[in-house]
Amino acid sequence: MSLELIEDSRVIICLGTGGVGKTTTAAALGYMAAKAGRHVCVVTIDPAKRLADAMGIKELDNTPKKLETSSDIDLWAVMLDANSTFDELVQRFATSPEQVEKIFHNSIYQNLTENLSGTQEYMAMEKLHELVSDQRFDLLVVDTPPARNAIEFLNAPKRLIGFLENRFFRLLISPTQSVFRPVTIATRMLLRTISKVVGAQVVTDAVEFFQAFEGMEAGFKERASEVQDLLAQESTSFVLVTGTHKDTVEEALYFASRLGEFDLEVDLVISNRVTPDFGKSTDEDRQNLSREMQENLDYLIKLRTAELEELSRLAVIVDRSRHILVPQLAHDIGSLSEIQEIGEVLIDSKSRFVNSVSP
Amino acid sequence: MPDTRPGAVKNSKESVFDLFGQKVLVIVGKGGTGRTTVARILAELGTRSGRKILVIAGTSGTHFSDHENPLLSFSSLEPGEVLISYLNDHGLGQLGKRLSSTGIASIISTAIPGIADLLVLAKIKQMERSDAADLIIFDAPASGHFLRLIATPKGLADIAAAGPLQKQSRDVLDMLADPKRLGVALVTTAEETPVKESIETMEKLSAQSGIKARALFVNSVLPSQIDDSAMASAANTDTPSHRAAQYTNARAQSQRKFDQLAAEKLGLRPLEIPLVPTVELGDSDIIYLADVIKSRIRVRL
Repeated sequence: MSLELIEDSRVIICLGTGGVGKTTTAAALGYMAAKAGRHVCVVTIDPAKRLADAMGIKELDNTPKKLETSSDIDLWAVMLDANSTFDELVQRFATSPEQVEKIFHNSIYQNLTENLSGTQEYMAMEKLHELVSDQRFDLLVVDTPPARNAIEFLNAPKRLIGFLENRFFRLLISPTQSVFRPVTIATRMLLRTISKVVGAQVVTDAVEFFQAFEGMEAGFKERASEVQDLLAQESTSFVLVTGTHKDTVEEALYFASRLGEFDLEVDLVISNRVTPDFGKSTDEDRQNLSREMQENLDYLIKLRTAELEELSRLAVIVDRSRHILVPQLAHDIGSLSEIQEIGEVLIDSKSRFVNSVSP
Repeated sequence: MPDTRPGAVKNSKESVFDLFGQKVLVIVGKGGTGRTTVARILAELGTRSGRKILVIAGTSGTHFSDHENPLLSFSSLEPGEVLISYLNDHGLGQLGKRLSSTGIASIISTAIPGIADLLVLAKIKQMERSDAADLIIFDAPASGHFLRLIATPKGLADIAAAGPLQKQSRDVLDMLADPKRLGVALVTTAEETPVKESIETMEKLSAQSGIKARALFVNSVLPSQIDDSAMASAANTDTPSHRAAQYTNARAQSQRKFDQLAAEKLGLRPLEIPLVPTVELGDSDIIYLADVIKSRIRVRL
């Protein structure tokens, strides 16, 4: 059995918490898809040079770079730079060069990407939107930011737009509308308090920020709804990546339920670093073995048993034929050959939970 | 033959890490390396010596099992929530629950990056100054975020206009700079990425604030390595046990490499926490791990 997902999808989105091997999984999926003849771009947010190194790319940045391999595969990678993606968006939606300048110089704007939660995720979606219409690729594999929870990722467009549409400050910059006058007086009192507590500069910056963004929300809104449509399409697949520990499994269950609220479905679950299956000793083996070796095997069997039991809780998300168990490799991941190794595991039907041997 | 297993006690008590050498102990590490595990082990060790321990989680998501232990208390400080309660206490309470829905809190936290993080540290400082506990263990957010958190008070202290925040920043800086008041314990697993991130974190931390790590915990270390001679003496070398032994030895070798790299670059003797064959550490596991760590460190009684 091959992996239908990498043959049929237009977009594959990998979701999971930090430290579960999401970046490696995305790279391995991308590699196998390219090997199957697809034109693939892996979109990563991982600032670590490791992936670039492993893929033989000197430096990843905001423009896709092609992987140099001995085999003839079409695999690209791009690293999300949320700041420049946001800058490009502003330039696209601004009505004048002056507006662009004003926004770029505003300190709230400068801090936005780093400090407003959800902005990174929004920009990842934005980059995706841009790459979908890039003729060079027919499959995009997205390694999402290690969000603390799924809400960040799915609510990102809504959150940013909510921020830009801030009612409170909107009222403040349109004092001519007399209807709002009483509100404005209350508002001004509040502003004085804010100034006292956190400094007047905050208020000045905020007012400037909302003035500068005036008239741009419509563009952002339209973009966001296009991204939502893209996520809802049949050709967009969601892959949930987990580890074997209880907390990553809990997180995966939570992710899946949040996706459900957005009418989105998990297509595949990949659990990394599962203790391998070594088989069971025969009685004859047991007699010949050192106690140390026997204890080691028993220890690993115990660990694998606990892991599989925990992972079987994910059956409520997908059935076991769509749950891949990637064994813990004895060596560390870090080169293209290891990404290939993981890739081969992913398409091997023996890796499916349904076909795995329980100790 | 010298014992070179990663989890082996190389030189008993040589690694001197005084759990009570400071009032606040911050647990720093990459996501998924086991910061909460280390916090639990240290809390166990601390309460054993009859001291009051307060564990503070840097996110509201972390769960810490409910203890019957009267010496152990637990609290969480989620930056967003701390900011809102600060604003409430400082005259913005008239907005009440609307403070977050009006977006004012998010505007303020964006306009003053790190304000929420500063307030978290200020809260910790407040608890440190009170007699709430003999030791405060701060289960800090993942290392990338933690670096920003530590950089905050300096950045804010430089902004003269920051008003009441100015004093908060100075007080927090005083606490960060005083090794008698605050120390850092690093957590990593013996793998390339977490070890490299730990090294980077400590370099930045040291450059930014002069904070040095007191202890280095290496988590999920395989407890044993199989003697090669035992493997070689067997007639059939393709049995489950042999395959398992080869796997264990290959991983142990890789772990040892990164354990040593961390030790060398950070100048600390690693305290290895053995991998327990479970997907969730129970209280009995924590007691066992605390025993392992206790055999390696000095806990002042």
